[in-house]
Amino acid sequence: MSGSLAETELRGFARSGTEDRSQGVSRSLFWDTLRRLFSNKLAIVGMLMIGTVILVALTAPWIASQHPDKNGVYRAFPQDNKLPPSIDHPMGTDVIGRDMLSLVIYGARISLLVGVFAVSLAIVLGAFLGAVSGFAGGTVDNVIMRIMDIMISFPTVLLALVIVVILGPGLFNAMVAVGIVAVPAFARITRASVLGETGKDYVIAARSVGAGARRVLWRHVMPNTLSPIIVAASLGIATAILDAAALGFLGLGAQPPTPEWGLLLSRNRGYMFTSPWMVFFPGLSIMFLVLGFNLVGDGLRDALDPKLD
Amino acid sequence: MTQYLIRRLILVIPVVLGVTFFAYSMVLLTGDPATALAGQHATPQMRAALREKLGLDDPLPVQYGRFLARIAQGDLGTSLISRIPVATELRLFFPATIELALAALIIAIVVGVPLGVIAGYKHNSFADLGTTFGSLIGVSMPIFWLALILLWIFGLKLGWFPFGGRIDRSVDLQIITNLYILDSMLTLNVRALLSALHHLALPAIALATIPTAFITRITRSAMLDVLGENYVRTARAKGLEEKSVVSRHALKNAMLPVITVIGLQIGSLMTGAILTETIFAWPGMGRWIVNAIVARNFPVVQTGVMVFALIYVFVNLAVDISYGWFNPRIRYS
Amino acid sequence: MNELLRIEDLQTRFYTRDGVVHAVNGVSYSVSEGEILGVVGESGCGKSVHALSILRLIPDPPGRIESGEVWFDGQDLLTVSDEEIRRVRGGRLAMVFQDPMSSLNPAMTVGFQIVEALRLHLDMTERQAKERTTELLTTVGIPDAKNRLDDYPHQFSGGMRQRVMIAMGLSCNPKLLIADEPTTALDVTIQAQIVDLMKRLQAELGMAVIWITHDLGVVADLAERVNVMYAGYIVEHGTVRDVFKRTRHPYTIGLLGSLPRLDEDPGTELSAIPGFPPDLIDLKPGCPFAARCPYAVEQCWSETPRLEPTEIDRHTVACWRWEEIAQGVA
Repeated sequence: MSGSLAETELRGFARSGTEDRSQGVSRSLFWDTLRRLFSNKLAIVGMLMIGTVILVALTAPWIASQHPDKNGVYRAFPQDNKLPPSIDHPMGTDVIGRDMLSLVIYGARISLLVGVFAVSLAIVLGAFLGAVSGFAGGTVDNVIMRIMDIMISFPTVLLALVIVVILGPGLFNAMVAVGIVAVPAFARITRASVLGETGKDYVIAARSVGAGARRVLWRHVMPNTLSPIIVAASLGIATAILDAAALGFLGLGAQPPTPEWGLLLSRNRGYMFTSPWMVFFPGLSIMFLVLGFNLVGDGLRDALDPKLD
Repeated sequence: MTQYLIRRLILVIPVVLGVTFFAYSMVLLTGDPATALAGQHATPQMRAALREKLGLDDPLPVQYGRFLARIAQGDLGTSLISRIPVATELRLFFPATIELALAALIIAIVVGVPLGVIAGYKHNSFADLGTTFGSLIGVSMPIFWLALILLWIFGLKLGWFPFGGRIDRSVDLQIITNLYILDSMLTLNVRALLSALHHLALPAIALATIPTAFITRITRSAMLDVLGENYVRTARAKGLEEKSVVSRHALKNAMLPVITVIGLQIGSLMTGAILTETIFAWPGMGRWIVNAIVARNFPVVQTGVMVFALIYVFVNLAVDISYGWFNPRIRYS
Repeated sequence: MNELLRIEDLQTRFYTRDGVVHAVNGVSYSVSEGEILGVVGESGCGKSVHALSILRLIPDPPGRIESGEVWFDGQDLLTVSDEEIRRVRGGRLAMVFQDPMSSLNPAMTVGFQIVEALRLHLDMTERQAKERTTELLTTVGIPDAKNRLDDYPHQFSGGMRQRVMIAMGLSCNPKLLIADEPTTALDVTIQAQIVDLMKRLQAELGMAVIWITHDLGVVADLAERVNVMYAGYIVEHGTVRDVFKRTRHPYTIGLLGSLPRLDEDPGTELSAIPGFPPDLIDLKPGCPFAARCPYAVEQCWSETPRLEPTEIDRHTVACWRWEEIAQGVA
C-alpha cells in the first residue's frame, strides 16, 4: 500500500534512530520475518493445524485402533460394516467394516508425503530451470519459458492425468506428476528473482569490484530469491495435496488398499447417501491439512513482504 | 489498440503450435498406438503393417505436420471405443462443459467481485474478516468433496435439486447448439429452460466455489492497494461521494490483477469441470476425457487435451488484451 | 481584508502498531481572502497532515482529528456533515497534491478528471464542462489543450502533469487553494515555471493560497506571510520579510543559517542544525526543539511554549527566550 505522503513521512519520522543497523541484512531479515510470522494469528493457527497432522501421522502406530499389515492391507470386519460414528469408531466404519479413523490417520502420512515430495521435486527442477533461464538469457531463456508457457496452458489436473497415464497409475507416479505440474510456477519465480537481482546496482557494483561478490550475492540475492519460493512452497504443498487427492479420486493416483484420502472418497462415493461419514471425514481431513498450509503460506507472504516498513 | 492486439496474437502462435505438438506426441509417449489399435491378438506383422499405414514410422515433424493438416480439415480422428468421429462427439460434449463452466464463471464474478470490493473497502470489519475466512476455506476444499456435500445436502436431504443429468428426462427439447439454456430460449420452451436451469444450478454452484474464493481474495487485496493510492485521495479531495470514488476511480485500477485471476480461474474451472462432471453425471468433456484416458482412447485424449489447452490459451489472450483497455499505459508501450 | 480561514488548536494523531503518532499538536492560524500563506518545515513536521485535516482527508483508521476547529466561510469544517464537506472539497476549497503522477488517476483521461469536478460542483453539461476544461488547461499553459483532453496522465511530462493538477484545483473557482508541495517532485526549472504560474493565477483570480513546502526559497518568492512548523507545532509566524530578516525562533534561525547564500564567501561552511527531530510517538512535554536548541534552559524542557506576539506587528513566536535571543543576551 503506497499510502499518502503524510503517512510515509510519519512512519520514517517516528522511527528515526530506533533501528539497529549493525547486523547484516540477512540476519535481521530472518529474525524480523520470524517475528512477524509469529505475530500473525492466522499463521499460528495454520502451523498448529499442520503440526497436528504431522503429529497424527508420526504417532499413527500408537493412536490408530486398526493397523495395516505388511502389505498395507487393513483387516476387514464385515460384521461392523457401515457403522455411523460412535465411541468405538469416531469416524464410523466403511463398507467392509474398517475403522474410518484409522484409515484417515494413516492417510495423513500419505498426504504429507505427497505434498512435500511433489513440491520438493518442483522446486528442484523449477529453480534449476528458472535460474538457468535467468542467468543464460537469450535463446535458452526463450525456449525454456515457452515450454513453461505451454505447460501452464493445460489445466493442472489434466496435465497431471496425462503424465500419470504416460507413467502408469500409482501413488509414486502421481506424486511425480503433481510435482512436474508445479514446475513452471517455481521456474518463473526463480527466473524473475534472478533477473531482478542481477540487474540491481549493488550486484553490478559488487561484480565490478570482483572480490566479495559471492558473499554479497549470498547475503542479498539469496534472501530475496528465497522469500517468494518459500511462500510458493507452502501454497504449493496445499495445491499438491489437492491435486494428488483429485488423481486418487479419479482412480489414477494411489491405488487400493492405500488409505489415501482422495481414494477413500472415491471408493466410498457410492454409499454417500446412506453413510455420508465415509465420504465426509476423508474430505474434511484434506480440507484441514490444505487450509493449514494455505494459512501458513499467506502468513509467510505477509511476513516476508514488508509493505508497511 | 489494434497494434497491440496484433502483437499479442502473434505471440500466441508458438504456444498454440507447442500445445498441439504436445498433444500429438504425448499419445506416442503413452504407448504404441498401433499396438492398441491392432488389439491383443494382432501378430507383429499386422502391427508393423498398421504402423506403416498410420505413418508412425515417419520422422516426428512429418507426423506432426500431417496431424495439423488433418485437424485443419476438421478431421479429429475416430473414437476407438464408440467408433464415432471424434469431431462429432466433441460437438456433443463441448457445449455441455461450456455451459457449466460459463455458468460457474458468471456466478464467481457476480458474487466474488462485489464481495471483494466490500471486504477491501471495509477493511478489518466483520464483513472483511468473514469474507477472508470464507474464501480461505473455499480454496482449501477439494472440489469433488464439496460437490458431494452439496449434493447430499441440497439433493438428498432437502430435495431442492436433482442428482444429475442436464435436464429432466420427461422434457422434450429441440437441440440446436446443444447449449440447453440457449436452445430452450431459442425454441421458447419455458419448461425446458426451467428444467435445464434447475439441473445446472448445483453443479455450477459447486464448480463456482473455488473461483469465487480466489476472485474475492484478489479483488479485496487489489482494492486495499488501490484505496491507499494518491489518486483516490485526489478523487475525495474533489468532493466525490465515496460511491463514485470506489466504483469509478478505484475499481478500474483494481481490476487489472482481478482480470488476471479471472483468466487463471478458467484453468481451475476446467480442472473442476473434469471432477464435477463425474459427480453430477454431467455429460461434458471432463467425463469424456477421463474415460478416454482410462480406456487409452487416444484420438479422444488428443482432441480433449488440445481443446482444453487451447481454450485456456485464448482466454489468457483475451485477458491480455483486456489489460490494454484497463491500463492505457500498456497500450502505448 | 476579510478572514477566510481560521484554524484553532488543530490536533491530529495517528494510531499505529508502534504507538500514537502526534502529528499535529495545536496548530492555530488564519488566512485572509486573497492572501498567500506559506507553510514551511522539514519532512514529518506535520505540514501536510494539517492541510489534509482541514479537508478531513485523514484516513481513519489509523488517523484521527482529535480536536480543534477549522472555520471556513462561516462553517466549522470539522463538524459539518459528510455531504457538506464534499460540497466544500474541490469547490470552495481545493487542494493540489505533491506527486502528479500518482495523484492523477492513470486509467482516466485528463479531460475526464477535470470535467468530473466541473460537473459535480458547477452543474455543467458535458459540453460546457469540456469547453471550460480546455480553457483551464490553456490558462495553466498546456499547449494545444483541446486535443489533449483525451490524453492520459502518463502522456504528459512531469511539469505538464502538475499544471493539469493545478487546473483541476482551480476548476471550480475556489476561494482557497491549498498546494501541498506542488513543486517538490519537479526539477528546478519547472519549479520556477510553476511558481510563476501560481503567482499569475492568484493575481488574476484573487484566491487565497496556502503553499506548503520545505523550500524556503520558494516561500520567499511567493508568499506574503509564513508559518514555520516543527514537530507538529507552529513555532513562528509572520510576514515573509519579518520572518526572514527579523527571525525570532531558534529553529528558524538555524534553518535560514543552513542555507547557502550568494552574498557569502564561497568557502564558508554550511551550518546544519545538530541532532534529529523528536520522535512523534513519544512526544515529551516542553519545547519540541529543546534537544537541538543552543539556547535551551530548564523551562524549555518542562513547559511547551505557545505562540506569543513579539514586538513586531503580527509576528508571533513560540519560544520562552525569544526576547533574550533577539537582544543577543541569550
